[in-house]
Amino acid sequence: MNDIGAYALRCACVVALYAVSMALLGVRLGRQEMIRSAERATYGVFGLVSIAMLALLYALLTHDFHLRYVANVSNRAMPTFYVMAALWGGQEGSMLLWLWILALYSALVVAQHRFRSRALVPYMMATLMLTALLFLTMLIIAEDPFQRLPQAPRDGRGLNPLLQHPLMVLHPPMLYLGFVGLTIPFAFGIGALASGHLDNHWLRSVRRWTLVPWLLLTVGILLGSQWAYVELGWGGYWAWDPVENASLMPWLTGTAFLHSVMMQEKKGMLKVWNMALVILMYLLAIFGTFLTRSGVIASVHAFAQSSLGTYFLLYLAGALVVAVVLLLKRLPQLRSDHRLESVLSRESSFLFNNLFLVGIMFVVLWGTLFPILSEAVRGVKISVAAPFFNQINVPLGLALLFLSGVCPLIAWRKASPHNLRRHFLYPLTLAFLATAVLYTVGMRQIMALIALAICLFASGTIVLEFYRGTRVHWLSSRVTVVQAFLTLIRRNRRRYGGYIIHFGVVLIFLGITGSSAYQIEQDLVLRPGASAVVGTFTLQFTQMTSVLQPTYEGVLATIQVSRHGRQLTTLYPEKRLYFAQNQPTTEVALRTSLFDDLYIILAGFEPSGVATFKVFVNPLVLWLWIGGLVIVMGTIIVLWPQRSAARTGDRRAPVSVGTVSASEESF
Amino acid sequence: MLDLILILGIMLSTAGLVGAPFMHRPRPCREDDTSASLNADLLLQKDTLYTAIRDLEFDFQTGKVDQQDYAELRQHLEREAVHVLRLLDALDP
Repeated sequence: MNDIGAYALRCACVVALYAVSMALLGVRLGRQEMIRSAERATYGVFGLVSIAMLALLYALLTHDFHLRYVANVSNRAMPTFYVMAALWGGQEGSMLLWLWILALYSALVVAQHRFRSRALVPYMMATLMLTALLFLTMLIIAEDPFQRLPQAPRDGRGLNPLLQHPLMVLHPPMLYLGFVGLTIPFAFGIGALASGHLDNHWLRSVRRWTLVPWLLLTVGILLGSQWAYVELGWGGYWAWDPVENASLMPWLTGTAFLHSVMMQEKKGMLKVWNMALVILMYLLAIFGTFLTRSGVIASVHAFAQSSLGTYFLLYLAGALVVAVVLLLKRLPQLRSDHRLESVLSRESSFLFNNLFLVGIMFVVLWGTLFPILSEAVRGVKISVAAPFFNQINVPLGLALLFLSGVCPLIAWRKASPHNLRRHFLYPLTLAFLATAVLYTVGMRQIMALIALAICLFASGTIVLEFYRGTRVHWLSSRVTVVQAFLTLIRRNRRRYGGYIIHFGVVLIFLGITGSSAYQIEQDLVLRPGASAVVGTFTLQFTQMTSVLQPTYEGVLATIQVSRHGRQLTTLYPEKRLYFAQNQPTTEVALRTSLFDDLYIILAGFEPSGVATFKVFVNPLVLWLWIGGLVIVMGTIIVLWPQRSAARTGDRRAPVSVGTVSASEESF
Repeated sequence: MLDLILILGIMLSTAGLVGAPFMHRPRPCREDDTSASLNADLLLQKDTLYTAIRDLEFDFQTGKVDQQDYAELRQHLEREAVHVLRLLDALDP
């Protein structure tokens, strides 16, 4: 079975090369059968990589420790659930998953375009299969998951205990689905540039193909943050770690693109900028993969040192050169149809939104690359810590949030002072009044107050948008308010789904503000029976218990938690030592609520029974995860199919301008 | 031995899959036809213009656009929409 996996990968490499050659030759010679053959080769690559995936999964499930990979990432004591997750728990397996997702997307996009955008398809296939070739080459030459050991050990080393967590089973596939998905917009972009078909057709397809990976990347990033929060035990969820940054950069660029693409669809503006964003998204996705896998940066999330860096850098350089040359060649065809008429317009708010998003992306890129650059220039690796990122990104992020409140209320082309007064009066008044109340009750941190004021302003504008839209529907048709509200969303999924996404972002900002500005951190040294007060919580350490399990041994502290004399819960922070890896871990004890999280880590203990605890009270963290769910809900609404004349081919479909309907704005 | 048979099977199936288009006369693509492609372009333009008119109407009713801007923009969009509809009619009378 292992031989089958190894051969399937080699065969996939040949077939991918064949697909690239046939696609490009077919378009050059005008031979349809060659292009069709390249399409089938794309399906073939998917089939072959699937066989390799199944072969590796089979080896893991049957504990075939002849394979170096299986021996490194699994053992007999691991539950089947984690044995399956070990498929992407190591470098080779996760690269195979990357490749499989790419092959799956490629097959889907080719199948979807059997009868449309035919001029773009050969170039798209060539781009996708070239990316597949990069990963196939690395898997065959440098990181072979089917490499055999001279002698099979009796048992494997097992998966890193930190990765044996339900969130870690979901986080990597989600992140890869997002990362890899950004290859598709790039393939569309290269297809449009190479074929010269730069009309809005490619843009329509690419918008959906960006939104899906963007959603998956969002979920992947949030799952990763949640894992870091509950598993790494340092009290936070985001540390501006290089690998975290690697996932954030394409997300920021993708967010910018999803906004600026509307400018091109509606106004024929920002064509070069959009193409540049599509290229940047792809390069950042590959660059992020390079950062995680090459070993150039130290991170808790990164894989070990490897020889993959050269492959990635060569490929990145090649992709950049090809994309830039094509872009320069097509510049005359990418001129804007309209110019910006006023600074007070929705166009300019989109423009600023893009500048802030890309600005944050470059700050993150600079901070991530700084240790590498400083080592290359001065021979000393200087790491850039969280204060650098926060100092620049917090104001930019708040400005962005403010724009998310401004944008929905401002008109296209130009807004009059009267309109601005009319639309911003209520949200601004709400924000000022609420901030004044918060200041009066004792909140004194200026940045936190500004953040909360902007959160309120943005929420106010969103609520106002829903109110005004519902009111117009309700007045123009004889339905109930609820029906008018639902019709509003159903008829205008892009606009109102987008507002829901914005509301999710507001909730995330609320969570970040609460947990970063008002976090309480305290070290406690307690004897059994002793109590201490942290924030509004009273913690009583009652006892320490030893634990022995098949894969680990540990100690478990029991802590009674009460507030104002009322018993709330019992928490069990724990320290473990995993036998197979000889690795100690800290299991966080967490009590979560809408207002705050109580987060306890067992930092140490003495034979006398005295234990040291690190305790955090993190306000409003739960809103961060709720915000994530709201974003998912909003994106699903945006993605829900809506009939259009172009898609249905209905040439004389009437436009019901009398019964009011709006669409196609947010996202 | 079983592995070898399976590997050979996979290789032969892949060769058959990618080689099949050379065995048959390829079916012409729908969009190879210039008029079909032009038709699709015009439908897309029409869709974009209709959406723009609907959006403008909605923005006017929710008070985001002034009367003067609304009238001017609406006239402009309707003129463009009529032009596209005429082109569509000319394509398939």
